[in-house]
Amino acid sequence: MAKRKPIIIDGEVRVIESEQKLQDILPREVGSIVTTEGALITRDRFDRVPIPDGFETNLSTINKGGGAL
Amino acid sequence: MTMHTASATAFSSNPLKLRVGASVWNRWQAHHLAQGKRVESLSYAFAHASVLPDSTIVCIGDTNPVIMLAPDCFERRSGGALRLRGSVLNGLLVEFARSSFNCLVNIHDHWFANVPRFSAIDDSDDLSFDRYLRERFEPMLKSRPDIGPDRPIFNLSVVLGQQGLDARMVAVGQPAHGACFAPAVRAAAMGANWLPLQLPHQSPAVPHGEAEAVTALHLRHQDFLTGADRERLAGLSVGVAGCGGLGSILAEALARMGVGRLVLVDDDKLDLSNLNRWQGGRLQDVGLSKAGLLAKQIRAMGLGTKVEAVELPIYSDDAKAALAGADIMVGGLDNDEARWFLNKLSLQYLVPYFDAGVKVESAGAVDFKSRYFAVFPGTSSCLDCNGFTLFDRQRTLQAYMNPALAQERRAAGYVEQAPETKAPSVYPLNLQAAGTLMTELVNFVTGWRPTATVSSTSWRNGFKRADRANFPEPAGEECPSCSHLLATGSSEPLAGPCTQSAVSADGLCPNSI
Repeated sequence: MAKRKPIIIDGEVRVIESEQKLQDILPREVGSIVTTEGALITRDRFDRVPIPDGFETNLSTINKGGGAL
Repeated sequence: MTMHTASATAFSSNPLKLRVGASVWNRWQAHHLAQGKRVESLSYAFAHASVLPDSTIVCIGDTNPVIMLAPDCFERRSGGALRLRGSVLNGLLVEFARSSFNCLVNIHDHWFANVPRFSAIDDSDDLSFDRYLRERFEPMLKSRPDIGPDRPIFNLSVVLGQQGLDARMVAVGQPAHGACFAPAVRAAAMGANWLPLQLPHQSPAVPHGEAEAVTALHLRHQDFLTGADRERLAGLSVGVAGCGGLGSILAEALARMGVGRLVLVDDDKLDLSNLNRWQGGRLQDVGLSKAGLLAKQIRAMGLGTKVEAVELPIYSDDAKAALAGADIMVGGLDNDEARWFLNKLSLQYLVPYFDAGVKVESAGAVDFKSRYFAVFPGTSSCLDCNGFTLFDRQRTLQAYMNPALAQERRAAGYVEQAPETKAPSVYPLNLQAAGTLMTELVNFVTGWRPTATVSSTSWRNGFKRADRANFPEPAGEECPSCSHLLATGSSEPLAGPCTQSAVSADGLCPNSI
């Protein structure tokens, strides 16, 4: 049986299976809006993105329209 | 001329070419054009735009961020219009600013149209957003590197319809260009088959050489190539890297199959020793540029093929730009360092790459072998992650960084165990290799059957073929080439093998493999 190994994440000691990789245990960035999967991203996910101080936000709205109906 | 990493301003009046990974294209179709959908949608993608001397190429690979917006992201949405919430756009802009991508792509749909055109509302919206990018976003990146890397931002707008799309680069205040929009002239989805995307104002591509010759060409092909197939071939631009024994056959075959445009790249001159295998070579041609001579011969065929000769090494900036600008690349090369280079170019610029090679085994039981492989960027494995051993990776990379070793490998030619006869008459073998490649390339364009990614022929052991049905090897998630280079365009360096003059005093090569 494979040995378990201790690791420290943000000061917290955790014991994991030896074959586990960091990507298996780190929490996923659930708030990220960047995805290559094509999943729909909801409004609240965008709302949670922290806007840095001094960020030049876009003040005008985005309007698209076919106008052919 | 040089290939620019980014232009000083994010706009070029060069023809715009849009290349989209097959899975991205499928996601757009499912999201924007789902059956029964009756409202407009908007999505975004982050991409790399590359300004080349005669075109601007935007690559959206299968691993690029693609942001599909849920219904609650909109203030209002109807069959013919939509308005995005400001907080959604600004959250997205923060993420884009942080990224290394230089092209923000907005995609919306006119689900009610077949081949859509931008509306007046779209025009106004694109210009308004572009003013924000030029007047506030780009200056912010320049003054606040903590928010994101300083770079010119390309603003690409796409509208999808049921049977095609329209796309344009947007930039306000470009008096030098006299226009705010640079429309796309080419668009294609990159999968295991050639999928050109219909743009408005795009007339059908038809061969337009001497009428009698073109009619004869059509009559001979119509039994197995439909009108649509012939139109696709006529609309194709194929870059031929290497115009030697194999490349000269390939170039002529492409023209005779009805390919509309060829870019022939080779810096070599025809030698007396080449006449045993160089297609159409004559004694009086010795000393002439192979690419130039081949171009002249193909024009003289009268089939209307547009031919450009680039009489430079494939690693030169002009050759790189010419090959990156082609729809498909074909390799008729004699060394694996060049194949390694074209594999990278294929991945970075999303250009499907077809390659063939030959080998003679002379020790013991004589054998004549040919081998074919193809790379469909993002869809299939590449040269670096293919399940079949296509080359000696370690030796090739060593040679890439070591000019002396590269010279030694090239001197060995393609006759194993007897390098002193490095260039025998392999004309029949070249014909065989070219025939295999051409069959698969036409198959790729027409979709007759699953396209092969690898095949090999041995005079002694027969023919083996691995195609997308019996060997559907995907792009390797852990492949250092596929995972790192896909759709990166000119944002990643694309250096050829190290040259003797570039090697430093301590023997180090500055190039990246």
